[in-house]
Amino acid sequence: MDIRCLIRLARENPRAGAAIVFFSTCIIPIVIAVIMISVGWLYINTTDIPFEYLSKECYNADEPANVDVTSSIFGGEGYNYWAYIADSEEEYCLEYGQSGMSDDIYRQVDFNDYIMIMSVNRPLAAIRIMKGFPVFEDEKVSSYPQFVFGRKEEKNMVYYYKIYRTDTVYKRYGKEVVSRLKLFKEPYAERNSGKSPKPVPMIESSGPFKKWKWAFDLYNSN
Amino acid sequence: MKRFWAAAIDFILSFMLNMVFFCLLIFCWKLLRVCAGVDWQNNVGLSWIVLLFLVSFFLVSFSYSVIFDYVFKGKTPGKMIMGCSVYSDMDVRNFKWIIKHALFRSVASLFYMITVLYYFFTNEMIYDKAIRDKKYIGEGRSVY
Repeated sequence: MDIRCLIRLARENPRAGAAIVFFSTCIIPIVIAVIMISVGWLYINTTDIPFEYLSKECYNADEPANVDVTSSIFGGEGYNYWAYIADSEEEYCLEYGQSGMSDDIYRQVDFNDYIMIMSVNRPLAAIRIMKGFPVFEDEKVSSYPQFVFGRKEEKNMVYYYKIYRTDTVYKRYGKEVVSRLKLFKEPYAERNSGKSPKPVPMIESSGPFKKWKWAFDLYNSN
Repeated sequence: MKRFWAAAIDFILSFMLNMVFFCLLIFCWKLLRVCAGVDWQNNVGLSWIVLLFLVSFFLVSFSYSVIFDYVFKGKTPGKMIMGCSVYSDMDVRNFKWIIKHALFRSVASLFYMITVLYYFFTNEMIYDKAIRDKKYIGEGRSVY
């Protein structure tokens, strides 16, 4: 039916006009409610992790690269800031230490109790995990991280952080699983295959709603 | 159809207020969880958030109705814009009636599809009729 016919019908018969408006818009409050509830749920189940700043150093582009640290894992195409996660000393030395990242800062990290984070080009403003969406691989559980980056940008700079492996409670099939914190990371070989979920990096927002912005960004990106 | 459009405007306004109120509730809940140190320990189920949204919607709708009935003598923004008067002065002076009206209106707002369908068939809002039938002091006066 032509829109002009509908308008004419609404003018001639106000009741029909009201019915048309209602039935074409009646779903909107439900959609808004679903979005609000989903975002609220994501927001409340996302936990800020305390992290400790270690140092920053310029990236050495001359070293042979096992990992292409000039492109993102926890980032996405078109972003010029991203972060990496190193779970063990071997992993750091093999992949990142030989790819232009610092040769000595990792010594400040006891990998039994800490996870090391390297952010490239921008410092981190916040690290959050989504306990509501744990990643179970075999019997191991890891948390899906979200990195929030600061506004200040320094080209070719790598910022180093460490996170304490706190005991974290997850739920699986109604049962509670307590595990030391482990951050989910996309295997390097799979980063371009599209198999693993790719968190979207976010810039720190300002104002009273900055706590909310990431949740809307995340919701929009899924 | 003035009554329908007035109710629609009021519904939209109270829904928008609810969005703000719900954000505040979630924010406060999160803050309390962080302050109490339980944020690490457990997750909040989706059903709790749905319940919170419904409670928030009910509270906002109830307060909206009470405030406009009590302070503005039943003249809600929707009725002011559409220029319609629905309730008698006797009604809006009685606090018991105001509470009853707010309760009926809030429930009817939650099930707004049924409320609107009822209106299309009867030319009357379901909560206007419910209050008038109960004879809660004063006769409901409907003007369309």
